[in-house]
Amino acid sequence: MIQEVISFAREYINNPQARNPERKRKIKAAFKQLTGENLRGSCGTCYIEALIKIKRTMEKSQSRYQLKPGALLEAFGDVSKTCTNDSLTDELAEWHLKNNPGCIKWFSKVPSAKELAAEAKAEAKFKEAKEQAAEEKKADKKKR
Amino acid sequence: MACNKIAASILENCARIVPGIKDNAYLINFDDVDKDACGFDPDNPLLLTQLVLKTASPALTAFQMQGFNFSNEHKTEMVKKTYQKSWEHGFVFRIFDNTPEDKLWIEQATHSRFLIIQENNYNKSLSSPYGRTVFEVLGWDFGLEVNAAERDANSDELLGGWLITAGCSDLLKESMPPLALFVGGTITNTRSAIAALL
Repeated sequence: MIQEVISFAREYINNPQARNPERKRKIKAAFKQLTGENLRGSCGTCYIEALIKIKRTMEKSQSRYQLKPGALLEAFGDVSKTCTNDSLTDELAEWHLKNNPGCIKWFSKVPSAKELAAEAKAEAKFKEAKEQAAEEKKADKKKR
Repeated sequence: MACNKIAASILENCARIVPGIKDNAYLINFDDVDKDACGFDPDNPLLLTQLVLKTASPALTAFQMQGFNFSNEHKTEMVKKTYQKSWEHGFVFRIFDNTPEDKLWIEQATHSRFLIIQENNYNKSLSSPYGRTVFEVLGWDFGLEVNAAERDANSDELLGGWLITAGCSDLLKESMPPLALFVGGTITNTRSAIAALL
């Protein structure tokens, strides 16, 4: 249901004629599924706001790190490192965790050691394959 | 230093204090707050520097309570007990509607406990960093509850809307006045943190 709602979100927001009761019902159901709240559809922009929230939540849920609601990370003297969950990137999360390990208490999602190890392994494999391909290309050139 | 002694002076405020609170307030279910992850200023237990919700699925959020034309009200009072003093935090808000959804909301609110983040009109700009007088948190110790909910269909003021009075429970009052909420050392960061609650 959520994926279906996301698929018509852009059209729903941009085209008033695409806003039919069936789609409204689906947005309501997806919103309830995602947030546990009942969507109050009494205002003009309620459904659009709900769609934006659904999209944002889904995008966020795919990132590797997540902050608890309300948490704000900051670094003394460096405003560019200030972030909430809305502006958190993997790079920022890793920077904060490296420089201030205590801030882990404000994270609701961090990759487990197992996931990190698997990622490192995959990255090493990719690097190795890339190097091998480069070497083969070099050897081919020499042959010619 | 003893904790029950006055330790500083209060001097004249050359900034002019502004009364009232804004129409937007935020309600947070009391049990949703992750108190272990929240932070306070090391020198002032009344200055909350990090307000964080627990991790849950679906994600927990704060809820906006939007009034109209200064319809929200707030009052804090000291309550004298036999040996100690405690504090009553009061918050009055008005709902200018009467839909079944509103009634369900009110019915659920009457059985819940919640914190309120309110925004003062007063933003003292003479002290640095400015913005520390803006946001306040009510009900940190126990949460507030709905102490009265009334609808007068013929009301001249609300025209059939609801008047909700929230406050402390009859017996358990707050240990301190409302907390100032100031996150990340600036008012901009505080607003971002509040936005991240929604």
